[in-house]
Amino acid sequence: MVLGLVEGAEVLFLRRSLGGDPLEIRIYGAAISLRDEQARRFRVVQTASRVAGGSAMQGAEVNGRAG
Amino acid sequence: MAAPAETAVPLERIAVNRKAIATIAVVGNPNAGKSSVFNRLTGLRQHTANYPGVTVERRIGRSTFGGVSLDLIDLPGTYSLSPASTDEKIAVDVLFGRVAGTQKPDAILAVIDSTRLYQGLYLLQQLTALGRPMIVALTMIDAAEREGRKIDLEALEDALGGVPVYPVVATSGRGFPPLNAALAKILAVPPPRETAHWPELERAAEALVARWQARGTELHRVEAERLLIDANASTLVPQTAADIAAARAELFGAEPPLAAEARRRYAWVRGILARVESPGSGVVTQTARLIEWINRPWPGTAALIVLMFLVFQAVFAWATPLVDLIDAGFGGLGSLVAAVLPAGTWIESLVVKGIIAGVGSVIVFLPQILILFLFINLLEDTGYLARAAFLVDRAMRSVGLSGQSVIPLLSSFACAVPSIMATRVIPNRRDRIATILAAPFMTCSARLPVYALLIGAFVPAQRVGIVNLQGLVLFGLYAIGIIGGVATALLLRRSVLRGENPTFILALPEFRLPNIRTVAMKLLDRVRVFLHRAGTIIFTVAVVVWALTYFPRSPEVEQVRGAAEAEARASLVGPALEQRLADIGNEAAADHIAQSWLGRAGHWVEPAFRPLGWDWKVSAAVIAGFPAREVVVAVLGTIYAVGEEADEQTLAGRLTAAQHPDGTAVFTLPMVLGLLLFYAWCLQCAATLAVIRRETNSWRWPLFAWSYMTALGYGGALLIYQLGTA
Repeated sequence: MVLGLVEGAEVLFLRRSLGGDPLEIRIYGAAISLRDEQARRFRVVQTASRVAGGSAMQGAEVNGRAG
Repeated sequence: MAAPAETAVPLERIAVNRKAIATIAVVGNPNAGKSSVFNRLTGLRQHTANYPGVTVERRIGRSTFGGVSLDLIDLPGTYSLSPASTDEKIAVDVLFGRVAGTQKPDAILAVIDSTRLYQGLYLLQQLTALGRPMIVALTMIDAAEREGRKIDLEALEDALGGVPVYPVVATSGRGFPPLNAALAKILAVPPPRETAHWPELERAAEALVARWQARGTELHRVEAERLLIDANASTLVPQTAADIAAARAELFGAEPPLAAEARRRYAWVRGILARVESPGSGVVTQTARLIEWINRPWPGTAALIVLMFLVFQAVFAWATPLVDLIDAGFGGLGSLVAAVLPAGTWIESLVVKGIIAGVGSVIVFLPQILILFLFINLLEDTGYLARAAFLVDRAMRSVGLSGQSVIPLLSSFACAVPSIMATRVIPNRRDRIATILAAPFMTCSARLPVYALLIGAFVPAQRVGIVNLQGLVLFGLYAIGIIGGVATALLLRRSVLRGENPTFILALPEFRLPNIRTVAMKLLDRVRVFLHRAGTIIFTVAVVVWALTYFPRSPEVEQVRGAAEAEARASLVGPALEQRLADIGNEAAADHIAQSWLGRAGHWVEPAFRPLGWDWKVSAAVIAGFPAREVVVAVLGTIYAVGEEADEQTLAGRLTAAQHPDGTAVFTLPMVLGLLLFYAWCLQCAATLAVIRRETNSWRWPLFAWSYMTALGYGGALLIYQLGTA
């Protein structure tokens, strides 16, 4: 929350680590690592499927609060 | 009347006591480059101490800017004024002047990472409401430029309410002259205008302030706001819990206050960001492509393994010649001093074998510690270690640790003492304790002399296929240490330390070139910790062990020695005489130690260790090693009558030939393997216990660690010996 994962934020999903956990996302240019069980608490809405930069990313908007 | 005489006083003789005019808080997010900025502003004129009652370090530096002397406090990194950890709590408490013995800061230097403006603005916005003079240092502006971001500084200054912003690059010093000039005039900077409002919160806060003023307590409106938002804040002012609870219920209803604040403030931040920053052009360089590739899980893991291998190779390859040099140096010093002091007296023995040997046994660790920590700090500064934590987090969690445990655990291969202190970065207390208890299992530098001696003496130097047998056993010992540590963490997390893993959010910094200055300062810091904490204890122990092996002096031994020497002089001459006299000396030393306090202790505990195949000599040496492993080889040398400075060959020869009273060999293969396992798993380091006590704030954990590891070591050695000799 304090890192800005709040309603209306735009995040880019970058990748998952070994074993699928944790995930790396980019929020307004800053990369953050998030564990799977926490990530599940966020609701996201997909807004774009590929963003310029060369890697497969998923644009999304965080909707709803984290627990 | 004569004119008064004039006396010329040279300028250097005039001492001017420069008292700092003001205290400036250096605040910012973790990893924003705060310390680099702080170091550049204060250089070596900083002073580290501890905040009262907590294990957080306080760094204050005094510097002069344009003739104005200022104290800068490097506060722990924090993401907001609602603290999430002890470190952050200290930062907030210092800002509000709540810490005894620390001056409340008069002004604020906010350090914000220009590539992470989104998060930085959150804290900045909270800071502007404090009503104190403030300037912003916007760091890593070169990285932002590389990413193609453009930041409109004027718009930013305006959005913050008139706060001057200075773009800098801490690694190169770019942008510092204007910053220095600004610091000279910081007290004259007007407090920022308030640009974001939360009317309901502000009204409730002002009501609280008024109510407490009536009770005689002065509170700033922002402090009251934090009290309303934070969970545990109501202990500050007595009889306020009810007030706060009522106001909170009215303001927030069922929504957690922190969530409500985050929602509002970040909405404001997004608005500002749109005005102030234009995002990167999306140009991807070759370097960026390479970094992207390495960040992928499989290439990343491969890179990690290769890197670890290279680092450890380097540590051993570079450290060994240095260690040999230091050994020789101290040996030489000992001989020099021995020639000067009266021979055969306790003073000579104390100085040469107690003090000089004691100091030498501390210094001999420095090469490995320096090299390993140099690599770790370099990797940390490039941002790579956070990536490593990201990669291994899942694997670490399956054994009860956390991704962030990987750094302290790696450092433990040099010395557990600074590494256990480094576990402060782990936010979850249970993960942290599990890491602290696993750390001593990692094969530290102190175990290596014993391993080298025993492996060199008893493991044949053969090749099995392409693998060197001795190297294999050494590697096996490292593996056993790791397995022991990991199993311990797992066991603990399933039983005593059972619990959920709360939020783990790790900021992953972009790759950047390491700043040599920062790396050097952090290295000096770790070395200072080692020398101060471990070094003093190791040294004390060496002297105490010396005393235990020296006293009580036995006249009979001296008589026997005198007689033997007389006989030798009567029948030998030249080199043969020299050799015989040296041997007599060593035998006398061995006899002395046999009846010394330590020797008696060895005899006394021998029954307990006989099932492991040890005799009283081995038991005595191991006991001596309990407070500090390093003394064991020297004590073994004395007990086996080769003198402590004998080379490994001679000592190894003696060990191989050592016999029990009934004629059987003492050092059989099962016994040696058991002894090695004992060393791998036993906690023999008073310095480690001391630091565990400090970091966990109780004697429970060090006591547990010691008992548990000793039992493991004993049990393992017992098993191997009994199975091997069955």
